[in-house]
Amino acid sequence: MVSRRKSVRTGAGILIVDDSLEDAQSKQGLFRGRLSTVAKTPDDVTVEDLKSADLVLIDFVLDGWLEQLAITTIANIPRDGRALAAVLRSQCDPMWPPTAFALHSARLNQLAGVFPSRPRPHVIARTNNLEWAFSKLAAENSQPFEEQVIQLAAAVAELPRSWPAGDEKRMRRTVGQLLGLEPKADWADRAWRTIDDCHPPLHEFSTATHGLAFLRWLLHQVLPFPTFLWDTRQLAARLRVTPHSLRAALNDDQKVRRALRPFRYAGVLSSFLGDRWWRSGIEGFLWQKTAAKSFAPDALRDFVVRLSASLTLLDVAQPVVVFDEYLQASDVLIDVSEAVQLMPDDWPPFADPAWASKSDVTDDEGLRSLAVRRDDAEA
Amino acid sequence: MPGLIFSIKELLDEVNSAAAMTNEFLDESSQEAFSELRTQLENIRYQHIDTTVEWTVSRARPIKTIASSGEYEVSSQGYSVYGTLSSVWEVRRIKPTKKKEPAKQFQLTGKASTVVKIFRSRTDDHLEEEIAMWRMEVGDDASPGCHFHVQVLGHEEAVPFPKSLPVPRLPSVIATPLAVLEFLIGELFQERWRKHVNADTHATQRWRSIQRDRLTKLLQWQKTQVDVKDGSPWSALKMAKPNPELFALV
Repeated sequence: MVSRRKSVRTGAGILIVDDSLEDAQSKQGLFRGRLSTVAKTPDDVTVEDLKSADLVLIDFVLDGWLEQLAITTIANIPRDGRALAAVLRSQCDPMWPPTAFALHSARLNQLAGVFPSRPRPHVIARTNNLEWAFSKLAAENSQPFEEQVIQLAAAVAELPRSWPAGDEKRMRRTVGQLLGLEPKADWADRAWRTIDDCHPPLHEFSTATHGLAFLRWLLHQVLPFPTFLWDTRQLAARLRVTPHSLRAALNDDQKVRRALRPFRYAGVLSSFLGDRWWRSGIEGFLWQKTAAKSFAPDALRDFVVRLSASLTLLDVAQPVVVFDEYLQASDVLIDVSEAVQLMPDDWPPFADPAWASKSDVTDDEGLRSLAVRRDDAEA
Repeated sequence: MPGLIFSIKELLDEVNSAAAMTNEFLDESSQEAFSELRTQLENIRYQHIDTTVEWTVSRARPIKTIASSGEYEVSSQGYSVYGTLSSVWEVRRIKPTKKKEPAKQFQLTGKASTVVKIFRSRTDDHLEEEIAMWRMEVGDDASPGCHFHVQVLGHEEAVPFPKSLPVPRLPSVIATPLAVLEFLIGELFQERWRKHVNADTHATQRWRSIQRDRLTKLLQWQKTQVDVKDGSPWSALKMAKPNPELFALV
């Protein structure tokens, strides 16, 4: 049952909880040689298991286990993995190192509302007091499940033994290290300002949770949105090139890779939702490379052409990334004049706006309900 | 005399508070213009480029208001129009005392022009026609006429107000592109804007503080200029060039 048990935390480790031990062990196999893992059914989980785990991964549907329960008192019956996560979290002593809780399910849509019809893991996690919700359907995870689990467990393991509250200098150093922000980078000061604009929970919240609140902020409010970090689509929009050609160039064109490498986010969870880029670094870089005309389309185009012939230029005055009917960022970039701003519930006020195409908003009732209304005389 | 000096932090606050305050009066594409204004200021602040650079709202991607259905009249009886604003300020960052620190201020070094256009929506053919245009400008050392002035049209040779006749330079008390934006919205939405700015949000408080300080300095300077013992007060004001430190950090 136990592949490698840790009495103390030495590197990232996960506890896999499933109503079927066979299924739990099968998942265990995905991480063999990469993570310390323990596989158990709910009945067998001990306090020591929780104490040793950086991440507890719980199956959402626990019917097999629930059928065997002899008790009838409803307060003693967690109906599903979400409830079990809450029970197990309550067993964690606040003095222990932090433990993250995540669901694993093929039925995440049961935890999502009717709109959008495709579940969004960060929304499910946030609304259910979880660090994350992983889908068993590969198409619903933006990155391979195993890689995401390993990154999340590793991020928890990276948190300091105690959050350096009240010591501003130490706290900045800790956060800088977690975010992989090179203090000597000439754009580091500027990056700090943009981080602060996104209101990181650096004080009470992170102290009380030993930094778990900081990871939640990254997972739920930063990485899924255009903030101080951009995804590759946002970067493509800024460079006015197609996302597809930028991804290809980042894979195949050494010159592009080398030029942009200093600005690639390399902190915790760096590939959890795909590559991310330091916005401040990119903006400073473009300002230098375009002789301070980084918003002038001609100057930007000249630079991009010099950078790589393999990048496909966009003939769009002011490109924005289009969100589709599932509220997922798409590879479609359109001019802002053809776009409508959306205001989904989860969208942080400090993030850049979410956009949908006017035609999608016209055709889709769900998107229409999220469109920002303006009291325009012509409307 | 060198150009006026402005605090970069104050201008950033001005952009942020203007973006929040004016949001419901602007077409949503305008958010990108605010983002560009902000990013350019951050670049000027942090990037060590010691030549003249532009702080600009592109003519191709101007800030655009929503349509005003005659709200430029108190009776709201006029036709439907909207306004656009573009701007170019040529500036140079002032080197901070310590080399590694971000710049606190920049100085105007040339052009400082904000262009406002008004368009009328034609319902018959769904086209829009430009029906008004003026520029609100800050002069330089050599410019004749009032240092803070407004010019009507003057961008091409067509009459009236052809380019070859750059008068009148009407006196103004509005300095920055964001202050021009408030002027534009206040003109197009007379009653609605007046009510809107009465709401005491954080953005309006910050905006008020910045504009009050700047307008007070500007009006006090103008008052000083017209307090003459001989000649014409108007001529004195017209010829006066403000000290570069007029709006600078104390």
